[in-house]
Amino acid sequence: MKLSYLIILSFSLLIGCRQRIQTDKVLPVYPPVYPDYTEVTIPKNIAPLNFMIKDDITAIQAVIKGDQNQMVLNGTNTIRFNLKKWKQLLLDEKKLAVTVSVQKNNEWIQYKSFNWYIADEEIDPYLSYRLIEPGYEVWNKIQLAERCIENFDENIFADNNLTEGSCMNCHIYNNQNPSQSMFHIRGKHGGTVLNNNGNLRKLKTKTDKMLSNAVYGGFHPGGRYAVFSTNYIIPEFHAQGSKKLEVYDTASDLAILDFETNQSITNPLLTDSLNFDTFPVFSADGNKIYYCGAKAIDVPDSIQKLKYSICSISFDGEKGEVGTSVDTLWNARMTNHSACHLKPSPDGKHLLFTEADYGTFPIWHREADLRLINLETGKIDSLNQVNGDYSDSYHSWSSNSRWFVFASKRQNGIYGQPYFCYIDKNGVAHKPFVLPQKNPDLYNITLKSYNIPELSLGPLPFDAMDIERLYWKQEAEPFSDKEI
Amino acid sequence: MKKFSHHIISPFAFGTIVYLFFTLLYPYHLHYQEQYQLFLFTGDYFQSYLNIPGGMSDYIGNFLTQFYFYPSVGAIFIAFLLVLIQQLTWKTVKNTEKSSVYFPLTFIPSILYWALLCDENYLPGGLISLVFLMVFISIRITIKSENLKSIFAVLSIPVLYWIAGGAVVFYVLYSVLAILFIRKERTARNTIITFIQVGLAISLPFIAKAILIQHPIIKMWIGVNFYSFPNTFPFYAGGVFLLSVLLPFFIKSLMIIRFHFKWAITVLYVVIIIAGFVTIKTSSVFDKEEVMAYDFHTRMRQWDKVIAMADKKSPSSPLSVSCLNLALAKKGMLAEHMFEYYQNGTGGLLPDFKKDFTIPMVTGEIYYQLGFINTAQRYTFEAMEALPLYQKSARTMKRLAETNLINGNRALTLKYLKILQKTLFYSKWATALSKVIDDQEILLQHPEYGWLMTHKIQNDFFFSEGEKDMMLGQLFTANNKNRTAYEYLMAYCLLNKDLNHFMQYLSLAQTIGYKQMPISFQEAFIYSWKMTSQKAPKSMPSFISNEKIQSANAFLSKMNLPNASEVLKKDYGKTYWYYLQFRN
Repeated sequence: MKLSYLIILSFSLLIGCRQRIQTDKVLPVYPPVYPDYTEVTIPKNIAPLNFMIKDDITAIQAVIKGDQNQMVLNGTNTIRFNLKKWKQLLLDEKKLAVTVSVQKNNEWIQYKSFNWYIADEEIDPYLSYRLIEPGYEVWNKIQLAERCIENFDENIFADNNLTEGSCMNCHIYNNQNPSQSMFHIRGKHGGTVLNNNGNLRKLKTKTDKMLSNAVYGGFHPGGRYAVFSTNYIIPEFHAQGSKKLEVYDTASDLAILDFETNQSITNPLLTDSLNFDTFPVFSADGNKIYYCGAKAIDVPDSIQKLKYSICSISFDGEKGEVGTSVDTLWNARMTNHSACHLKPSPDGKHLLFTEADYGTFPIWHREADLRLINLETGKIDSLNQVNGDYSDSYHSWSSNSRWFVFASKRQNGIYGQPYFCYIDKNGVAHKPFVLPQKNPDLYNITLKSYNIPELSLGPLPFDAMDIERLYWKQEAEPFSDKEI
Repeated sequence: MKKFSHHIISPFAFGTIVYLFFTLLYPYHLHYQEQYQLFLFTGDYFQSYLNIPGGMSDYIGNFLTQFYFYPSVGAIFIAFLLVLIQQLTWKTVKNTEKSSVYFPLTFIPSILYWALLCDENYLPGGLISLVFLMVFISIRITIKSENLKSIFAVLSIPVLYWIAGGAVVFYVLYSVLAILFIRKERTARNTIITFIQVGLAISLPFIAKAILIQHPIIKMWIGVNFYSFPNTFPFYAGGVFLLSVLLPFFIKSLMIIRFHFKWAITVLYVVIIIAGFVTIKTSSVFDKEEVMAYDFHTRMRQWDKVIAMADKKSPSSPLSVSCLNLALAKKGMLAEHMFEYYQNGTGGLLPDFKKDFTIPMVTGEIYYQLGFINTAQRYTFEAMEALPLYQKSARTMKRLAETNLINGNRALTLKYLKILQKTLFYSKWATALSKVIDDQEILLQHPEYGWLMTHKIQNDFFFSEGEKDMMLGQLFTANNKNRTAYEYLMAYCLLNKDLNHFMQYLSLAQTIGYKQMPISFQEAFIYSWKMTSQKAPKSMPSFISNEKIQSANAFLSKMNLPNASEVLKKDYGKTYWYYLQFRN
């Protein structure tokens, strides 16, 4: 019975590939496709945008029409593309019109067509992220994964299953280059894992002058240095319904690590106990450090008054020296909001950051949104067409500065997914779209959150077994404070 | 009428006893296991198990575990599998020893695995793995053609490895022993085949590790999840596997009994029954069964059953006491009757958070019923995260759907409901709830969800584990009709022997509208009054009964006797005064 049903279904699908259905009704609205891929701008090298209809339907047909190609696809409630045909379609076309019809209660309903705009600029083809369940203090399985976004291949390059269940944090690249990257593994045999062309080092970054091990940070474009925050981090739990977790620092400083000498460079301006300094990154040219700074206040009692500004201080990459004065790029007092997650675009023109009502941990702040500063004009784009109802936070640029990826909790407020956004030549951001999956229903059923999405130009030169070996068999290299 | 042989009667009787044991004596262990798994009828779920060695055994084990939702059904599967193992063991024994006198000994592996299953952390996947092992050995024995046998011997290694994990080692051991102890097996061909089997069995875990690099090598060797905690090496399960393989050769080495056959078999049955009884009795932990029963009835909101259990035997562990106190509160009896039962301090009211999966689950249940929805959600999520083996839990998934429903997160509620719709026993509930998720009127009429939605905290604050009384105060302040919150607040003060705060909060009792001041409040009030008003005697308020005042006077007069604890226990053991003076 089932077999015959399958045969009939397969046959009808084959036939259906060529035939367009007779429409009974036309609705002047976009179809409720999931994920929402209506009117989005996509890169030429993206994986197929498979989608589905969540409604109770019996069949779906999608007609994809470009200037040179037309494709008719059928399914029961899902539209899946052939990878090869999809690639050709994106190569040939600048714009695709998608017309979706669904069969519901024995009648075919056709929705208003929507477009896919195909940008000329490609996006970096690899994306790394952390797969974790969005818990509170207890974690279970944590994996760092790398996805080729030109298809659906995913590779786990670190798994806490192999490292005593230790927590693993933010994997970041130097200028989206997979030949230099790093992440932290906590736990007994943990450390900061530094990848240099596949040569893995394990670093014990805590020095006498640092509050903690290295936490948030970014590479200097030259590769010799990285700047980090060192923080005392405290989690608190909200009692009221719409809020979940508040994470704040009771102290936070900055330090620059020199990977050649294994030394930590600190500066009184960046280790002042009267200020909280966090989320540091180097500017695209490496001559500045951008970071978030706030006056130290009594937390958690005054947590709602804790607002971080965007500051900068110069850095001399030749001498490894930090400047003597701090500039304020975005003043929290003026906006009465708080900034975090600073990311300058690789071309040095923009600075993308997250703005929240207060505090330093926007992923649980519903109001947290992305903002884009034009570093040449100082103009701030509120990115209204990009931000969603829930937290839009961690982000990373594509190496060509025309795309960025960010973690958004817009679907349900808890589980984050990576969204891609195009910035056109005029600096205008387009409607973002979520990372395509082979099974478009995946985000509905997975219990994993996609954390810390970072784009890269290629695959990483190490794998999970290398990390397992490093964790168990290699001693962590100590760091010391540089004498000033 | 045909006379049934003991070969039929004894397995049937064995199966029946196993069934009755798990249905009548040990059902809450099955409920316990069921709640901590989430078997999904999806291709992705199946594939996730099929991707790793031993995954098939775990998959079938989890499939069976979902039926523990009804212990009377789940027990059928356990009984069947244990009888099946006995039958397969008998088949292998028959291959080496034709005499049936040692038939009773073939129950040993099944009895031992039954004993293991009395530990809530032994999972049915291990039992399935043993069944696979014995099935493969039986097939090996059954095949007569030498060529077929050889092909099967080689092919069975990767197949058995993939479906039953490390059980393959015991299968190869059987082949080795067969060559050593069974003359007809001792051929050059079999010897070569066995060498190939040994080579395959050793190399397969390494090959698997090279492919599945994100799994530790030990997982590639053991494969099946015998035990809830992956760091615990399953020695005992391995012992049963080893015994199952050795038993035929051991029996072969025993002398052949030709006389007094019936007597011999009777003696063996008696020995097996006595040894089996002792084994199961020593392996069963009925104290845990009791705690699990409290937890189960609490989870099912069967408050009367919780109280009835306590009336039969007062609970003493913090978890069961906390379940009892919740049941009393839900029935409006906490303030009146709590000291009629054993109380072990504030830990028996609101146990402290621990990073495991049992305590947060039970405590989360209490917070949920009180109206601390966010805290209940956190405890539930943490319990799910603390589950070993990266399991998910149907109970936690259901609770997360409920807390998000009450908090008004529609999308997240639907996400959890969608997952539960892929299960066998939670699908109906999930579908029904998803249909009314947008109908606030229906939801508000729901006796539990409606109450929690209208009583939830409106003003935000950080939940402090170390200041539970303040948290309860905040909850009560948010809604002063929340009687459960008030009684928990007062009970917390009483159990903490904090009479200052108790007296401070007592005036709030008027908002609850008690017809008569609860007994424990009266007792605490009198005690506090007596201790503080001696310098300026005033008349006792009208809500204190004269009877209680007289009783307090009598208690206080004997309180300082040398053996007061024993003297007063009979008449005052169920009063707050006794708790205050003589309980830690």
